[in-house]
Amino acid sequence: MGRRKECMSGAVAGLPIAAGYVVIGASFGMLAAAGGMPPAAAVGMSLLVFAGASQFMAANLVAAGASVGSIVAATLVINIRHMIMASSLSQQLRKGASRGMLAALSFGITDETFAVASLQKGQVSPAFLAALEAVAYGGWVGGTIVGVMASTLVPPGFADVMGLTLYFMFMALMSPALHNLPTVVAAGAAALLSTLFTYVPLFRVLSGGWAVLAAAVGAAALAAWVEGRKGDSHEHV
Amino acid sequence: MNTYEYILLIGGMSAVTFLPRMLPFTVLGNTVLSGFAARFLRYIPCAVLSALIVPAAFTSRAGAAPAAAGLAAAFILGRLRVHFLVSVFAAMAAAALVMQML
Repeated sequence: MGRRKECMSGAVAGLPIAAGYVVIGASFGMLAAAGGMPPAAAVGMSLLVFAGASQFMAANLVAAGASVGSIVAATLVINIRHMIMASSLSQQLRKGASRGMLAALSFGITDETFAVASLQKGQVSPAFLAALEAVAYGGWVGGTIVGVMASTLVPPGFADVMGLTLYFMFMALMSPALHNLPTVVAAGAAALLSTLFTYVPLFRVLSGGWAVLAAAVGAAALAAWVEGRKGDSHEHV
Repeated sequence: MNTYEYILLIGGMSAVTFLPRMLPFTVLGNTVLSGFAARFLRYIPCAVLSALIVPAAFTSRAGAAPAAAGLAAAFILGRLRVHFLVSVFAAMAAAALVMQML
């Protein structure tokens, strides 16, 4: 396939993602504005971070008065999964791209772009991936701008439901993956540990992002041990 | 949060988001992890997502009941392999419905 055809193909594949991103990006814009974040900060975040889950979390944490350090730590924890996705996708990318191109392409690896790219039959070309990510990115940033502008028109109750959207996204992503004992152990243990670190005075030195990180690391280690003991099949989560 | 702090925040978030995506993508090529490390990393996604949802979703401004309704909807539809977007919208609708009834 010529490069132009690959771009067109990637762009078309990105359209459903962009449609979703316009809505979720607008939700983020509204939530951020409702929490007191300046429009420039919200749009800047969408431009430079391009990670919905962590942006929603950041909007909530900013409104709650959390420190910059703890929000950045929470962002690292939430987005670290993209390291695994990037590793996986790197194997599916057709070889030959320059380091600079790889770095640029890696910026656009999100849950949705990864999912669509991974589902393509065979290898994906840099042109395809670039177009896919560009279309998705446009939807995300565009949606954020719309959301920030529309926030004044929206009643407070609506913005609160938008704040929950983040968690519904997480559940919608996680639910299909809970298909064997170790994954259920990972999710269950993480929920318990996270609650423990949030409420039990002894552990409250860990707060916000650190609690999530510690809970996730502990739960994943436990799940890995469970899989090792049970000899479970090596299904990808 | 003042302007300087916002710049630090967005810069920091950008760096900790971009680097985990960039490093494996540019470096990893032919390395295949094995053993405990591989198993551990495989369960990080579910663990992180779960730790993020609980308990935070139940203590947000919207309230615990709308949160529970939406999470239940998203969970059930996810098990049924419904498209991600449909699950999210259905969850938002469920939460909004419960909020209306309270």
